[in-house]
Amino acid sequence: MTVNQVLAATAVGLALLAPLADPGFRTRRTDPARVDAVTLAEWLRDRRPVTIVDLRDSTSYEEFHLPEAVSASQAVSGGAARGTIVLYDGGDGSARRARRAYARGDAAVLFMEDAIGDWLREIMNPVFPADASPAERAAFDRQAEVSRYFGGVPRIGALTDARGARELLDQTRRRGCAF
Amino acid sequence: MSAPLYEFGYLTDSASLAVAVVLGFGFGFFLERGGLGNARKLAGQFYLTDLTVLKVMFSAIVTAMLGLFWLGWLGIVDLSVVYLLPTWTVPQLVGGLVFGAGFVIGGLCPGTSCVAAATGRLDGFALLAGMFLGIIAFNESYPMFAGFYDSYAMGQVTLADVAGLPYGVMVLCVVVAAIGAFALAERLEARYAR
Repeated sequence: MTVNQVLAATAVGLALLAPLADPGFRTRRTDPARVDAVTLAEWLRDRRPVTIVDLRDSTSYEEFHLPEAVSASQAVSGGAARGTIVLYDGGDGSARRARRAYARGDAAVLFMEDAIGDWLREIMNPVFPADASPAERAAFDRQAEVSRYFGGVPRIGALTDARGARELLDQTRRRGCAF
Repeated sequence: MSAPLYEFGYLTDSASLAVAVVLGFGFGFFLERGGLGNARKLAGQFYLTDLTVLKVMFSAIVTAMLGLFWLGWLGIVDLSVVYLLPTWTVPQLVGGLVFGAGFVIGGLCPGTSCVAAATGRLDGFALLAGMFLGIIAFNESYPMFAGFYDSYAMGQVTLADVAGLPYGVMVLCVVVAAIGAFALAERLEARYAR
């Protein structure tokens, strides 16, 4: 067989095996290093040792930041950071890339993308569908509880809240809730 | 999970640009070695006399697709952070038609015009000049069609997403399509090649 024939046969073989790969395998895989807003909120509520680092510029940080978050310019990479380190950015993916720079020993370094938007949507202004199943309802109850802890207002609605972070931030401010 | 290297912090911004330059030189080298710096060979695609472009591009697509799929399955590549160009169906169809018209008129596409110019071909330089003039004209006239440019947005979608098929099944479908395309290309070349 020629080189091209070998390559073609290899390609066909790999393609025939592809459908047999893990049926749960999809193009959108959940990164185990990513933490969601509800989980982070529960850690803060339960006083779990965690250091939250805001990687955005200082102006964005001063405008709004997650509870107990420190600006990257003030944070220490490793060193005095306590417990789990959670990095978040403004949606440019820098938190994922910065994980290696903040790694120290065995401490976990996690990240959130679009943390502000997720926090405002899922913690401060969560909306739950009225026709939720019992299992979904249980998950919503967990989210609603932590939402109220941080001064959020859980609501029941027919549509998923697709408002942007800016609009949610302005609405949160109008309620007089500030961090 | 350790790739894409840039997304996981193994490459700095400057290092990733250096890697891009190296990959660009490699891409141009193999295009030229494959004969894709020749306008007659490229234009033959549209006259069905020489379908080298289809074979090269489809081979590249299959190679990259199988590589990414199996590296993702092995847990080496996190496919969820591999950048996907967002889809705007109608604007991109119109853009494709404009691109195709320029391709068949000039005999070169933007990438291969760089390859042709690098080998000293005057038509490559002419296409490059036209490309830069086109970029300037596009930017200057953008406000006129900004609305259309941003219309029919579908976000970052894959064929598997649109078809509702498992990723592995779509991989097999694409490879089958590639084999069919290669067989058809051989028949067309045998019939129309001078």
